[in-house]
Amino acid sequence: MKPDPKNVQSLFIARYRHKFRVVLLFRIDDPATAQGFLQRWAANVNGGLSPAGSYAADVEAQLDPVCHFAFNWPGISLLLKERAATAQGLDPDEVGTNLEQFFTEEDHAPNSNSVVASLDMKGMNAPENWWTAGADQSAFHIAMLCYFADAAQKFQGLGKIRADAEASGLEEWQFPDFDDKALSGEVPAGGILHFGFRDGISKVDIDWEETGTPGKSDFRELLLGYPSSDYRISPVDPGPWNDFVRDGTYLNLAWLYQDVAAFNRFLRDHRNVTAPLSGQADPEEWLAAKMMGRWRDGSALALHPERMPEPWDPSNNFGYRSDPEGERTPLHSHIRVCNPRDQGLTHVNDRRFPKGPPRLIRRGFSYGPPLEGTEDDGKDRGLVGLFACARINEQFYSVVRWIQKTDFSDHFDTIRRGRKRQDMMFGFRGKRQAEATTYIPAGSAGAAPLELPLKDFIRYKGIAVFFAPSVKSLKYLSGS
Amino acid sequence: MTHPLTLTLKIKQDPETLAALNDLKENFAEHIQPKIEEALRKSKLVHFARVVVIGDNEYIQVITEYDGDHFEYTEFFRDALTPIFAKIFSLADGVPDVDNPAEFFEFSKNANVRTLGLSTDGATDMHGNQAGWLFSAYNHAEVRDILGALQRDAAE
Repeated sequence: MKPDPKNVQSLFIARYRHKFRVVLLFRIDDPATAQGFLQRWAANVNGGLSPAGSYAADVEAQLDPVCHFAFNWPGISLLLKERAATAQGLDPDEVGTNLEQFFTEEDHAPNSNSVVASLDMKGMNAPENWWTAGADQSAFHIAMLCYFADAAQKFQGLGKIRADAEASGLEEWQFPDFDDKALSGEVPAGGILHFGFRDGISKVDIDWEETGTPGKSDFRELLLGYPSSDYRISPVDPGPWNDFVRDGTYLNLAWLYQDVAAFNRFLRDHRNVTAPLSGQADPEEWLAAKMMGRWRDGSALALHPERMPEPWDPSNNFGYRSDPEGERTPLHSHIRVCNPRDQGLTHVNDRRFPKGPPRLIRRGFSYGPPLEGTEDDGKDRGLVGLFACARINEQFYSVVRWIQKTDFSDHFDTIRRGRKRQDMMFGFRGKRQAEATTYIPAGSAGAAPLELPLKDFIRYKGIAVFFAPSVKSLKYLSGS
Repeated sequence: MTHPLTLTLKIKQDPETLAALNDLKENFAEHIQPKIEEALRKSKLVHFARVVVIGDNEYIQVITEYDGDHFEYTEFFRDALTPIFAKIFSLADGVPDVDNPAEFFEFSKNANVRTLGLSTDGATDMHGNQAGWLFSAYNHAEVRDILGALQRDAAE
């Protein structure tokens, strides 16, 4: 059985051109009226690879607002019960191990002790510092992801949605510090995010036809409902739960604060020590590129190790096999940790991921005003990351753990305390036993690598796990 | 960080199960032990492992000391040792489908017995609480650290 892209919510398999993005979080008080709301808004949810408003569709067409939906487990439970889904074999109280515990069990929710310990969410990353009103996931049930072309459309659209939500008994969990009172932001000019890097270059190319073409990713990285021997995705057995989740995906939301001033200070403070190594490149640009694995214009270090090319190179066709020591792209650079591509993994991880390292479909947006310079202005800014995958623990949480502790590849054994180090851009530096320094090979034989003390440039402000059902199951949950 | 695993299962006492237990004991050295050994050696995560039957065939225990995150490698061990776990788990009540990662995870978590005392190295248990005590003569060095040191020592 192969998936039908038309049954997959387009958000995860296409890219919209809309500049303004908002995540509305609603709590269901009355499931019956909530279903009325869903029927009105979910009826127009796009499925397929080229929905209106996407880059794959007619680029000249007018951009109408679009929305997509995802639900956490308490939300799905309420809607299934309202639907009397037990008759169809979908009793939320008896879900057991049909779905991943990291989605259904409170003991394994993102803010649970077990997951917090597993992901090392400590210090400012701890759940007591998440969100704006505590970390209780029961505060919301529905994530409505809204895309708007411009500010006026956003203003109008949010007004309509909120009025209907209120009339439908949905309680919105608002974020007073955001102008839109919701997690909201926009695609920045040129796709340049707060640390100054161009984003959106690396894309997961889904292998819909199971051709096994190198460079393409199995659709099971994204979609539930097609378990195989290489992808033991719950539910592993046929039945109503498998039918219900088929063509759906887990949507992991990570609200991330970016300390731009700290990052800029780090680059500036190490300019002198970096200068002898940076060749023709500006020392700060060189250091930033080594930490990210890409130049700030998005060109890969793997392809352009000496300097930023002119013009920039959007090519995503590269690997690390010929660079086992990280001389071009350091082993602990952000893009290499989050997607090791063809870099060898440990035996354990090779076995866990026989089709290659875990992939995440990245969506999301930047929020907060830009900042230049090294003085913080006290304003909130960062990224609302939306990471879609079929297995929460095996994919999303694995990458989060790898960021905190780089022990997933034998290559790390080749450098001093290599397995105790972290992603150079991202990581809780106070982690017990962490080697919180950069490791950037100096480039010439025998020269000492560049080991600079890292700071917490990024921290978590909230993590939530949702399930984004297929178009068909969304209609079912809506009571249609 | 090293964690203790003390998987403890109450053995059913019906004649069929006891016959299967006897079969397990008789075949362990020749057929089971080598497979476990191969998987654990390749993993470079497990310090020590043993399987013990205690009482008058009342309980079977799988006891190990392992490195890494509780949730990160469960799926590797399930996948690498599926037939072995199937055989051992079949001796107990409430047998999970070992082909099902979620069932295996839940069963393993619930069958693990906490050690007495309190961890001294910041280790947490599968529920995220301070783990029980586990003595380590080498300050909780990981298998890979120890293997690396031994290799360097041998090379000198």
